[in-house]
Amino acid sequence: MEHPEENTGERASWWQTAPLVILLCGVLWPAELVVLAVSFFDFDRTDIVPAFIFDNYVDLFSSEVTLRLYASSIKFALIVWAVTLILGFNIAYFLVFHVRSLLWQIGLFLVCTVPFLTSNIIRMISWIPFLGRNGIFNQALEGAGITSQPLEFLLFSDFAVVVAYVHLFTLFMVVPIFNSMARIDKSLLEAARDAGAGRVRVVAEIVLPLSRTGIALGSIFVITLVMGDSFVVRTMSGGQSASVVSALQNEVAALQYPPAAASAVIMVIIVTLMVAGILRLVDVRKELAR
Amino acid sequence: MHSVEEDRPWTFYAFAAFFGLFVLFLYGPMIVIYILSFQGPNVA
Repeated sequence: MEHPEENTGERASWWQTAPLVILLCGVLWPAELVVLAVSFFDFDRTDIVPAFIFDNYVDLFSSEVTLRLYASSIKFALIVWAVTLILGFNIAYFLVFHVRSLLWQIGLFLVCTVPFLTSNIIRMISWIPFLGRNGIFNQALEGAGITSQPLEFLLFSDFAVVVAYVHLFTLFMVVPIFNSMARIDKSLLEAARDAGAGRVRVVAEIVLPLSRTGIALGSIFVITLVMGDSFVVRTMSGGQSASVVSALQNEVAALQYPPAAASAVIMVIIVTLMVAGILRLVDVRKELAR
Repeated sequence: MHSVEEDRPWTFYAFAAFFGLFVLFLYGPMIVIYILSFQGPNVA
C-alpha cells in the first residue's frame, strides 16, 4: 500500500458504479438477451417454437412497411428535435443570461419544471379538448370571426402528435442546455462584447459552442424518447400515424413475439447508432470533466 | 450611489415574451382541462 489515498479513491469509485452495474447486468442485459434469443425463434398461429432461423429478420427487411414506419418515426424525431432545440436553447438562454437575480432564475426554472411532475398521459390528453373539432381553440377562432368552420388538422393529425411531443419533451432539452450555459463564465461574454462582437455573434461563437454538451444530451433524450414512443403517436393521430414501436405493440398484442423481438433488436441497434453519432460529434465525457 | 442595474436591452423583453408564451403553452391545456372538469354531463 504505497498510495493508500489513491487506493481508497479507486475502491470508492468501484462502489459508486456498482449499483448501475448490478442494474445493467442483472436486469437490463438479461432482458435484452432474451429478446435477442426470441428474435430467432419460429412461430405459427398457435405456438412459439424455439429455433434459430433468420426468417423474422428477412421478413422485416423485405417488408416495405418497415421502411415506412422508420421514415415516420425519424420524421417525427427530427421535427420534434428541431422544435425542442430552438425552444430549449432560447429558454435556457433567457434564464441564464437575461434573468439577473438568482431567485427569479430558480423561480422561472421551477415554473417550467412543475408540469413535468404530472403524468405524461394527463398532459397529453389535455390537448384533446383544447384542439378538438369543437374544442376551445376552434371555438375561440370562430368566436373571434377568424375562421367560419372548425380547423380539422388540429387534432388527430401529425400536427397534434408534434404538439404533444413538444409539450412533453421540451424540458429534457431545457435542463441540460441550462446546466451547460450556467457554467459559461460571464466575463467571456463581456470580453467578446468589449471586443466589438454583436449579440448574434456572441451567441454563435461563444454561447453555442460552449453549450454543445447540453445540446447533445438534450438531443439524446428527445430523439430516444420520440423513437421509442408508441402511445402519443397512436392517441394524438387517432390511429392514423404509426411508429415503429406502435407496430411492434400490434405484433405483441397478436402474440407474434418473434417478429416483435426482431423488430425490437433492429430498433435498439438503430437508436444506439443515433446516440453514438451524437456522442461522436460531442465528447460529452470530456466536456463534463472540464 | 448610482443604480448598478443598467437598462435592460430590448432582447430581454422579446425573450421574456417568448418565455411567457412557452409557459402559456405548458399550462394552457391543463388549465383548460381543469376548468372543463367542472362541466356537468348535460352541457349542450
